Amino acid sequence: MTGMAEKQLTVQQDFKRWREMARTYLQNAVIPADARWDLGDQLALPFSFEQPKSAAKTNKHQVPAAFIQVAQFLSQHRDHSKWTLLYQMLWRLTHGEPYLLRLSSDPAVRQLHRMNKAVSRDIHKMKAFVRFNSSSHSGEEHFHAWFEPEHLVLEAVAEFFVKRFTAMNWTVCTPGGCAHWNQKQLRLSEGITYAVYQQMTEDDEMNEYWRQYYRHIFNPARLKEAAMKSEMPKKYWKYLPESVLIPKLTQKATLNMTHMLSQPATDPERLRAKSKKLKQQQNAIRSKNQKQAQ
Amino acid sequence: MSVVCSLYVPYNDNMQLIDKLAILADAAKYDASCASSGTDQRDSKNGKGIGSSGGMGICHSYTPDGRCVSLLKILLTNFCIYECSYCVNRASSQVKRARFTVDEVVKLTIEFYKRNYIEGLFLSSGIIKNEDYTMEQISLIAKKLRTEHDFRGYIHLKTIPDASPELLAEAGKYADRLSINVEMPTAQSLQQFAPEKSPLGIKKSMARLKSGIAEAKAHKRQKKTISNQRIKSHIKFAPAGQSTQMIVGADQSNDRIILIQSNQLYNNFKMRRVYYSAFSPIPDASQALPLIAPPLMREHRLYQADWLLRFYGFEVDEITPLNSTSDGMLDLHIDPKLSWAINHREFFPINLNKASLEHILRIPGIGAMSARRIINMRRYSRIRLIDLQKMRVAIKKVKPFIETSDYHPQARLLEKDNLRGYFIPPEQQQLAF
Repeated sequence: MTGMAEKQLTVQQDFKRWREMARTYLQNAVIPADARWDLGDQLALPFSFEQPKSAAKTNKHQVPAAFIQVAQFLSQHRDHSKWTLLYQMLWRLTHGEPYLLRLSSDPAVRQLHRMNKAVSRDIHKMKAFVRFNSSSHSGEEHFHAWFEPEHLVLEAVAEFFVKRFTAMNWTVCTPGGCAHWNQKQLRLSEGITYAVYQQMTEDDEMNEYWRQYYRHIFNPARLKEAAMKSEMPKKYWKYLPESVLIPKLTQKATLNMTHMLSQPATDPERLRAKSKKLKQQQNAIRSKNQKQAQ
Repeated sequence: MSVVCSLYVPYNDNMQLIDKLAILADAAKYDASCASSGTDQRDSKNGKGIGSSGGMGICHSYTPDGRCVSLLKILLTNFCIYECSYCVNRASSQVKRARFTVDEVVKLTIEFYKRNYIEGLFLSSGIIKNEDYTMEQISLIAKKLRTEHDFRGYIHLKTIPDASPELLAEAGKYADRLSINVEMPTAQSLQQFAPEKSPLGIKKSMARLKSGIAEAKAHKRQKKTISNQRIKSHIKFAPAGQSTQMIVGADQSNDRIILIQSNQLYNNFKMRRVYYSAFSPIPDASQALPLIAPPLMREHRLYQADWLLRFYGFEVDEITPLNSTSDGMLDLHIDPKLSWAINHREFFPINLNKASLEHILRIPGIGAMSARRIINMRRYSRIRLIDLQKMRVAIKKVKPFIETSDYHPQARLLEKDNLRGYFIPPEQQQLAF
């Protein structure tokens, strides 16, 4: 993966930039309808304001710490309207509605919750469905994974993997960027296409073991295909080596259950009759239990 | 020469690992638990070892039965000297047998974990030789994972009741969660269907786990309060607590008996969870227990009732009253909270702007989360019907039971003879489960 363009931690920077701009807007009493954020990749003020000399002195606008947290989280949402929404809320929080976040039915609060929920679901599903493929390069094991998150969550998920897979070398690639960990440092690079990713990786033999496990941990007598699909929608299937099994397992489930129900039952004495030792052992435990019960 | 002989010698054969995996996953799938949440916060940031845990569990996949795949759930071996009628691995069953070596389980766990397939291991076993030997083997795997591989993922060990207290203590040192299945809702049923299991022995072991868990917790709390003096020694014992499982529909116990048992398990042993497992068809059933299609809806209603007991302040007598026409069974067509409300209309309507949290929690269609949101919100503004709609509360369901500043239910809705019918689509009323 050498030769790829380096990339900065973008989400945190974007948020920092938004915060600075929002502060300036607020200090210049720019109402939400007049605030502009839609300036491509880089957030920049459309016109120059007089910068206050000392931020500490003029920073009289207090907002709840919880707002900073949810706002920071929301900066991972892909939709640019997030900046407008956040400024609207900031404006209201500092103009007579300090309790705004508690108004669960307020349209802005609902929009914030909805968008943040989409982000946290995206993070959660990415942590769950990323699959690392092992390959060896000059004797060193390296793990590769591909995922297409809906939002800008690569950094958050990469940090989670750093804590979990600290002693492994790994790369997670997405169309929007790649994260690389070499057991010491997390590095970001430009995104790649799925085709390029496929050339980088080979099939991991453990996938066959995983498929075997998946096949056999499934209970055909409890088929609930809709429940599975609502938790693991088809769009995730391409990352999962086990997903190739789903159609066949589903199709054969009812047949398997009917077959089980129609089989003749076995005599519980079958083995006891053959093995004296087993019978003695079972009887000893049974009589001990009966004594205990009395 | 009987097959049983192989029970008494270490099982050595040339079976491939991948074939053992098939047999020993098949043998493990009737255990419902897949939880990997609520344990200590751990990670590998210091560069040693592998894995992290704590916080929300992660489901890395879902099988077509809709179940979460979070842990590598396998048996160490499915050889077993017990004769539990409901169990696919009972001694008389003719299923194929296999046994993993300790290193094979360790290898599968680590390699699966590194590929992000799983959160950890859920290990159980058939009883071989005797209880202590089996427990020792199970613990040994956990010990190897923790000490040799510095594994920091999640470990759930099935505990063998009647294993010695020393072995339980050892298991608790390495496991996040320990569990012992009660299996049957009553002691009589257990004696009938699992003659080698002892109801008393199970409860004794559960009590041991409870005190082990409590002791470790108290120790940790104490450590926190005097944190400026660093204490090096620390007791570790199953930080994610204990859980258990009951099979539903194999014996004749009704839902009331099941819920009374659950309630006792929660109260007496501080269970984190009681799992309900609908008795499911298995290959090669026993004549002692004929197969049925699994009662999945019943299982679902029991989980709902279980929630009402734990988070909504309901009593067993309210959910399944002693003198009712339902024979101690939950209504399969409507959820138990709605069912209670229909039978206690004098309790309603509840005014959302005035009622206590306890009362709001009793409204059908309002969950614990919405109830708290309502309480939070009404400090700043009056609750209107539209607010509920915006909070995505099921309006049709709550309407007969609530009052808001702009809405009062029509008296006749609450007084309707067929209020139950209002909630069930007509085509479903005929459904037999």
